[in-house]
Amino acid sequence: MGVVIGSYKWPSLVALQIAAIRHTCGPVPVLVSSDDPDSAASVAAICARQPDVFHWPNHVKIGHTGGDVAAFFKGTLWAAARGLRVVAKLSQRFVVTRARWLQDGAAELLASGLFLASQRCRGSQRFDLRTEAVLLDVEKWNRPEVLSRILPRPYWNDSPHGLSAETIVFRLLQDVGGETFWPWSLIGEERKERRDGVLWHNANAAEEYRRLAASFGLEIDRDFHVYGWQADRSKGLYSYG
Amino acid sequence: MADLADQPIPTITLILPTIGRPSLARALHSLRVQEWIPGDEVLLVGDGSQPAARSLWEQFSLPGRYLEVPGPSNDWGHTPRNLVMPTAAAEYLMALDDDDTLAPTAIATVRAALAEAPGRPHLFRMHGDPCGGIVWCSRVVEIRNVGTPMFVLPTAGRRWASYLPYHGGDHAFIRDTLALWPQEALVWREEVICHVRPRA
Repeated sequence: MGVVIGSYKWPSLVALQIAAIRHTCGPVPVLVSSDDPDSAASVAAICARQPDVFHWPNHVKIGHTGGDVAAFFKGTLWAAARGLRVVAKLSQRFVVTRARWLQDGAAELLASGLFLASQRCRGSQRFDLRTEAVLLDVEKWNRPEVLSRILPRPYWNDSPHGLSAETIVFRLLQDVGGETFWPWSLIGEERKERRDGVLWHNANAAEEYRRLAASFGLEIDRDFHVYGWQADRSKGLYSYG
Repeated sequence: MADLADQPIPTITLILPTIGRPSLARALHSLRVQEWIPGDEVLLVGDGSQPAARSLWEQFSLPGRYLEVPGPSNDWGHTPRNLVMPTAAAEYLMALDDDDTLAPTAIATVRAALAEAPGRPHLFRMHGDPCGGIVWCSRVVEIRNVGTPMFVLPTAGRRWASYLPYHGGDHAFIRDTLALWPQEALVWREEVICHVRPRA
């Protein structure tokens, strides 16, 4: 089993993610899918310093939805090539501190026989699936009918109101993934609810990320924040892609 | 001989107690492919609070309902079955554990058998661990030869015993329930209707 991390803008979060994964799950392989050519060199340098961490950047920035979906695509191909049965896709600000979360989650997913593990998003936001932390059964994902639906490209403008990664992955589940997912106990259905063993930007403060990083002897980028990307988008600095 | 086509079609309540194990997904998947008819119901019973089971229930769109009973009782589903059996609304009652699966045509097979011998308890066969093969082996109600998922009984008159809170309580339930019926009432059937602890 392994982990694919989506990365954008903050290389220090990649370092934090790798440290947290190593601390909780041991020397499992890690893939970093970055969607920010401006920070790609820094991310590459961080990955190169760590054993069994592979960097796979998008050479052109795709944007929010497409960048997220690209992590699913690349994570599947990479995991299949490595012979991994389960890969965990994590957004960069979803940091897990619970011991053995990957091993335990993978065992649950395989025992369930289902396509993926995650949770619905209910409460302050509503989506059919949360995509910031998903476990994928690699054999079930590494099929043309799945991969052709998650190619790395912009997706947002495919729908008049914007197409989210949550919708894309849920439709994939409905159409070719057997319709049902394993409800992963690591995460809840409410994005803003604090959970033991997890940092997530909707529920935790930037200071908590900084404290965790400091416990590994790391520092987080100065401009790191736990907010959405609307402000950057209004300045033309961010694309929903 | 009565024409089976003239018989009313028997309806079935299936009780599935769960502690939210991942194998529940396989059990529910095996239920989804069955031939359910109006009046059938699946009662998925959380043994205590089981959010994973609730989430799966909402995804699988089966007839029936999800409910929770106080727990976990840690007695192999015996207490949840005892609590929920009186609420069964169909004409026949059967059960499944959350690490077992029904055979693909199990419900249709059971229904056809019930139509042949209405109003009587039935024992079908099951396959897999821990028995390693197929049971029942002989027409004897004894431990390791019979188990919960094999047993189908009428709900009329509520002629059933209680599951006792120990390992083997399922055998005792079948034995004690059959003691409430005339000796010749039990129908032994050859068909395998479930797989016990199938390999992932």
